[in-house]
Amino acid sequence: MSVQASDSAAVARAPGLTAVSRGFADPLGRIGFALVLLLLLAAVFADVISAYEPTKMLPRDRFLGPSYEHLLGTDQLGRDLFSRMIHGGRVALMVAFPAIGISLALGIFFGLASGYAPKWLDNALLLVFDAIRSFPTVMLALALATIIGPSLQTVVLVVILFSAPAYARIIRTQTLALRNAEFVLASVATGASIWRVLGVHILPNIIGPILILVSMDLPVVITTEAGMSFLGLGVRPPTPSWGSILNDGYAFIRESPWLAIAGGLPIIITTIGFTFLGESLRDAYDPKLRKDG
Amino acid sequence: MTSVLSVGNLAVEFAAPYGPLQALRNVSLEVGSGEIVGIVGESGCGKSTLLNAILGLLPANGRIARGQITLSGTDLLGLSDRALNSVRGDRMSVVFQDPMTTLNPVLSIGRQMTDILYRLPLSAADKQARIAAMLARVGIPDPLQRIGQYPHELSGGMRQRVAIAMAMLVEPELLIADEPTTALDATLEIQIVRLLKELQRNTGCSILFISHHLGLIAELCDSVAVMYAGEIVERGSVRDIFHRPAHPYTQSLLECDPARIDEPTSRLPTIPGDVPNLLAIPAGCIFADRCPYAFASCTVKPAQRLVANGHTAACHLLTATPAHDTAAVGS
Amino acid sequence: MTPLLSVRDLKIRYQVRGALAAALTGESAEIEAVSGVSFDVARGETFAIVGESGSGKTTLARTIAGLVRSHSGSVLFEGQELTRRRPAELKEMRRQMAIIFQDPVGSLSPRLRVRSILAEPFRVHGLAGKAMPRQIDRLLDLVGLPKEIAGRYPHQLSGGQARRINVARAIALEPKLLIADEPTAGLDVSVQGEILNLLNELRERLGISMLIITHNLHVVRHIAGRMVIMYLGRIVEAGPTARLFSAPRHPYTAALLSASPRPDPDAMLQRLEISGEIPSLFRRPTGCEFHTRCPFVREKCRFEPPTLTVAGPGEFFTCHFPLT
Repeated sequence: MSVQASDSAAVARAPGLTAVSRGFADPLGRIGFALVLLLLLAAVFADVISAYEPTKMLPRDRFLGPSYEHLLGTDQLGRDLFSRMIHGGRVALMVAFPAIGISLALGIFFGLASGYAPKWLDNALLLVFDAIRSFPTVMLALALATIIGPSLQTVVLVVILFSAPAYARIIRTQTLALRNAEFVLASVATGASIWRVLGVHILPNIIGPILILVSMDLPVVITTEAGMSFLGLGVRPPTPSWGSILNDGYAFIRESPWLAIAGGLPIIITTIGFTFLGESLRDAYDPKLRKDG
Repeated sequence: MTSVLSVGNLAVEFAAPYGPLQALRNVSLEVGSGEIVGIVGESGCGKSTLLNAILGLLPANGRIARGQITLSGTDLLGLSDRALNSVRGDRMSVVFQDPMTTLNPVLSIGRQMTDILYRLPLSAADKQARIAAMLARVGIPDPLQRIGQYPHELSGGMRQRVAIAMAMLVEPELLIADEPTTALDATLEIQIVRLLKELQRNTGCSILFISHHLGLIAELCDSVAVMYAGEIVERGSVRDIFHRPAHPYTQSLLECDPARIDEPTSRLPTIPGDVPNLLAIPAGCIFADRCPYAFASCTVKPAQRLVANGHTAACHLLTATPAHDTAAVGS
Repeated sequence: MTPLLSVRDLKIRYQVRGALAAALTGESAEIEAVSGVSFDVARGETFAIVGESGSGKTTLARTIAGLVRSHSGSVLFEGQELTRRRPAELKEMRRQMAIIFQDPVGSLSPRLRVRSILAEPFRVHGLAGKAMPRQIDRLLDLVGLPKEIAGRYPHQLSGGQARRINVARAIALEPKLLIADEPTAGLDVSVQGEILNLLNELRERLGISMLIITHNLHVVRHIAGRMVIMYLGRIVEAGPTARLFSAPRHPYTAALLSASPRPDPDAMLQRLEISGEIPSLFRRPTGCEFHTRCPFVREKCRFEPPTLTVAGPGEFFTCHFPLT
């Protein structure tokens, strides 16, 4: 049985938009979206929201608990934890977005190339991907930090080196699956260039699930940054990053628990937010659930 | 003639976002003992829904709004899930269209066929003997060797024969075949149809054969029901339907079949228009908007009219007295 | 008059295992899907290639359309050799030759609306301009579809509508040859006629030659003037459609003809039944490749491959003991 094709015309929307709108019908998706939005707004308006500069030290007010002046208290140098947390969000996004963005771009380029290319090129690229991915993350991070020094850029580079081959592999598999699809062949038969085939026909049909994966990768990146900063391989003090705050929290846990909270809590919230959002989008995107035609 | 399957005034609805979708409306059908009944219809006619309703396999948003389905007197709709399970695969079995998805790719043929016999208290050796015999009967060479093989080692035609063997292994009263040959080549199709005919003759089971291939229906079936957009528009013996079609849809359908047209022509007949939207069923005859003979009365739903003994059609053009709705199909 | 399309001794092979695996297992690395096929298609005619699964007909169609590389042999289109050309060189030829695939909805890009799908041929060849919307309307009109359909997505189309969109896209640049792979597959009987009528009409109105690939003999009778029958990658019989239907020479042709039952319970034809199934391409039978299933098989057939017997212009068969 089937609803007639003609009445689906009444709801002629782009398949992608339908997925997004359905994503928001799911309550967890809404929570995820709200949290992500919160993160983004907080990062953008960090200066407006925080009462203090994150690096301003008030030596007499060290290890204070939460109060009206200091919403989350202060750290070992008397810096306002709330402001540091908010600005840490900015750092997190400044790592996450470029890192993921570049990884995705590289992943798409090499994934498409590998999936559509003749076998020898595919094999060569696979060799490169797998070689990079076989390195243990921490070792690579350490090595890089030693060579170019710890910084935000180092973190971005590490993320790119690990994410790009992973995305490339996924995109390669999707490309391989679609390569002989009749609508792709039809386009080739019309005389379309390889760029047109890849860009107009293959990429839009595989990017949906990739983007959802990416949205769920964002918290992983943020955690990577936090981990690297925790190990001293990432952003240098006094720049606040959730990882470095967490690092301080670990060192000064007996003096005040609030440092650890200021570092750990935003990581938890961000991870939950992106995960809910990503999963909800993925469920909405699944064509098998698309019963309304 | 005793009836093996009896479907009476069946109505099936699906809950859709836009409202209830009436996939089947007032469908009545009988399959007698030892009879081969064909259901002909094109896409969207509801044959799959009918099949699923009989088997109790309607999806979650489907429900049986009205009607009865009985199998040799057992009311199928009143059965609990467990009881229905014991009927399926024992008293009635199914052969589906795609043998690739009917067979479990990770289990050997023999293992799958042994699993089906779980109800029988036979020894493993006895079961294997039965399985080998059945495989031989459906025309599979070297059956003992095949028992250990996996589906991917067999060709499409072989797999469908195995599927038929599996369905017949339980000695069902009713075998339901849902487009069993659609995925096969023409030369294989007739082999399978011949096989079904032979098996039916030897075991005396009844067969419900669903297809859109008119030629196969004509070859295999004793009686035929023609479905259109969720209704049965005509029923009768195979000769009634093919030689004396009474409903305009049946007539048009037969006219359109290129196999029926002897002279090569560059203008083949078609049925203009589309199947009606099942969310907004028209009040009158379901075929009126595409019928070449539609007239004023067609705004009222026609009842099943008697054309001849055992031959009924739902059309106002037939001025005979209305037939009993439970008229048995077949001569 | 030179034929529009000329295929000569075309062979197409697929690699099925790596060279190393082949060397180790002793089995061949390639299978030959098409083994030396030759035929001509004249201007303005409709030519049919008939075969069941495993016959190689789809592979043949795709090779002619330039989508699959051939191993040897030639494909001449308007006198120009198409094989051994790099894809970039074929672009101009692609304007003249269009192909329609088997799955009507699957041949349309799922994320594009119908109007973008129809605009593609124009865009690819740099012919898109302000007149695009009008050209699209014209195409839709040619295939008998309403203008509103231009805004729909492929999953919102019925099988028949999608099939017409495929035809519209194929004729967009007014090709000389249209290759249709199973044009009626998956269509209900009541709409099959629509597509066949459309193809016939386009041939008459626009003078497009057609190459129809199908397994449905009844369809062939109404649309093609000449045909070839393929089995395991070879042509077993070729000739005018009327002749093959009335007096087939090759047993396989006769078997195919009788394998499609007529919708008439009393038409018990003298059925020529063939047993078994298509042999695997990995283990091709010796001698005449049809001998494993032929009801008239004799000793000679098992060992000696039959030679091509020409019975007339464009009419030939390969059988030691033809039926007529």
